[in-house]
Amino acid sequence: MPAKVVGLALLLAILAAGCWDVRDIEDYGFILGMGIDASPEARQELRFTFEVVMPAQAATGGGQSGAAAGQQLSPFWNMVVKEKTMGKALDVAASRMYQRPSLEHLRVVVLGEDVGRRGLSDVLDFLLRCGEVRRRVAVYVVSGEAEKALSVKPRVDPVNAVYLANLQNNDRESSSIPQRMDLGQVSRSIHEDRPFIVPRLVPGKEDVIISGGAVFKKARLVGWVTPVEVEGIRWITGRIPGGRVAGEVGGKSITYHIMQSKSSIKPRVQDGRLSLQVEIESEGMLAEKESQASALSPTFVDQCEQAIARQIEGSAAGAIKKLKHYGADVFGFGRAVERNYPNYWIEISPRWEEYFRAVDVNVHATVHIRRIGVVR
Amino acid sequence: MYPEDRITATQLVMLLSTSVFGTQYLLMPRIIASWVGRDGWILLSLSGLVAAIVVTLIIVLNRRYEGKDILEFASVILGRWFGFLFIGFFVALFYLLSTYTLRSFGDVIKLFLLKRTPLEVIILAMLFTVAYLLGHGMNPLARAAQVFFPIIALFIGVVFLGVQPLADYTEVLPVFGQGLVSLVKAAPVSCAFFVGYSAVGIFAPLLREPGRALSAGLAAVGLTLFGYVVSYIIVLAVFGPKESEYLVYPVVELARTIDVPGALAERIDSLMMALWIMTDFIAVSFSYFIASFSLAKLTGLKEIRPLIWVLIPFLYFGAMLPRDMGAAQMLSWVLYYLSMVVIGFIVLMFLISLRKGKGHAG
Repeated sequence: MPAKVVGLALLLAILAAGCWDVRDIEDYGFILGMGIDASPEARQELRFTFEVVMPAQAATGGGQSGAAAGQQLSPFWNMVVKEKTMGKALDVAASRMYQRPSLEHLRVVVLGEDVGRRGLSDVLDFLLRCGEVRRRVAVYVVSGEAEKALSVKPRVDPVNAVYLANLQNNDRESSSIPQRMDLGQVSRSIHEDRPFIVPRLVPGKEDVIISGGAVFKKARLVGWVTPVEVEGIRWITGRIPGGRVAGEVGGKSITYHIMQSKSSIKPRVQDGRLSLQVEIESEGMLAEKESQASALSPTFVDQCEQAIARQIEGSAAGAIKKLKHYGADVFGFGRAVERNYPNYWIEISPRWEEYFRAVDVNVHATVHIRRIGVVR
Repeated sequence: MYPEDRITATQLVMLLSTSVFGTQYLLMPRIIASWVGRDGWILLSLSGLVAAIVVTLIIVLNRRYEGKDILEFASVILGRWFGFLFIGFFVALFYLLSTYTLRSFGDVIKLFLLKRTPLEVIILAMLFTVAYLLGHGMNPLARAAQVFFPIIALFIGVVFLGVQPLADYTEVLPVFGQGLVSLVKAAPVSCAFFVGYSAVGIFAPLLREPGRALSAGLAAVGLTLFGYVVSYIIVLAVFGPKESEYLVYPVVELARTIDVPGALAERIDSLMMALWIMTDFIAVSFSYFIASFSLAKLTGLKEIRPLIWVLIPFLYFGAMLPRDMGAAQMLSWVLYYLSMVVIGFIVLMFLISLRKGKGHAG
């Protein structure tokens, strides 16, 4: 009996003391945003910007509304560290704050243009490997320095990284900002050796603008695309749940509100020659018109549908032209060929870039204006 | 052994499918993807078919030899020495399976959950809990499986539903893109994912309703196959073949990719860890039980309880022996070959018994 009691007491002493891994939340300094820039001085070095957020200060709303707190501490702190590797940079970060630098809540990674041009495949390994960082972390490229975008003090949110991360979610509301890009997709595209688009940020004073995107090929930044080209890309890849397209009917502007869209890419091989047929179909409503014509008249709606469809075909053709120039198949044309002609794909895939540059792509769009709003 | 210690057919289904699925499902997609890429689901289906055939053979033999279990009829069919050899392989297979499961349990928990807790502590805690359960016989094990099974199914369902917005099922195409040769080459590995089913030969005579052994065995194979194929296709649809191969634990990564609006459920991977602890608890207990049961047969012991405690240090050292993840993966290669040997023996036994049966009739 006493043996059992002693055993139980010992067991309780071990178990009741709590978890081996116990750590209080106050011990963590959460890094919510990270910027990666190439260092101008040394080629081997990178410049990391760690956006550290102190939960208590973020809650008081920072400088503007936090006057009651007595201090004018910013809710976030951008710590710049120059190091060869990201892991080592975090080590240095630990020597500059008393909390444990933690990436568990990382929300956004901003890449500088230079580091993009050098190539991402080596830079991101730490983030993918460490197991703390989620694959849904938003990724951006800044034309210029990443640090600039992280230094913006946004009006809509006290914490810059939260603002940046959430900004991408508006890919549902606008067709001209690139589709959401996260760490997982970047990693996947690099491993599949597939070109991809990363949203491009233009930092302002109190906000940033997502303006077009950066084209990556073989994990290297090779060029930029404009918002109109981004729209073309998104029409072809068929993922636009919302956004607006402007067109012209009889010299007067109209705007079409996209409710849904889908596309299909059909490759065809005839006499050893590859061509692609892209069918885009969209449904939506008339958002505005300048003309006095009645929106209840079927002929007018017909004209609008035609005008918007030509507009869509135009932006798609523009996007294809630009990306052929870069030799970067971000549309998934290669994948469509692989799906439909697996044997032919095995034959041509080593030289796909050449084929892509030369391939005939025929884009056809159909638009249905189902609703006209609440006025005639 | 325990004359009253019997289980029902439903319990057998839940125990077998949880254990077999639970040992491998976290990393299965990576291994399959590295062999056959987009055609993994075909490979898995074929191996499931093989598993179903093996289960049928075992049950047929079991009926033919009047309810003897696999170890007993092995000695009858193969003679004493080859029977011994077979039991030896059987013990080795399930011993290694338990150490492998223990080790992968520890590795995952340490990687994602308890980063500072020593691996020794994680493994010992699991080992003693399992030994405690098994000390009470087979029925408590079956009941534990019965309790966990619905929870596991629910959690997996939540994770799989959560990633649906990110899934692109055209990733499965083109079918047979890898060619038949690579499918055949990968078959042994993939069949090894199902090898736990040879244990049906132990459980069949212990059923309350021995007549339902075959349907229970096949139902369990079917459930596991369904689980494997669905997880594989979803992993493929979310990550594509290259990334599935790059991720060490693709299924954990699925849970970590789910992005629920509002920070409330940001940590859905803790659900995954709870799931992993439950399935692994059942899986370790299962292979541990089979290993000690067969060892008892080999040594002629009437009771497995002392063996369970005797085996603890062996299991512990077996699990701690691989010095890193790569070495732990080498262990799985040994498992593949052992599985081939055991499956080969079962087919051989069936063929021999077929000949013997004819001899008697003639």
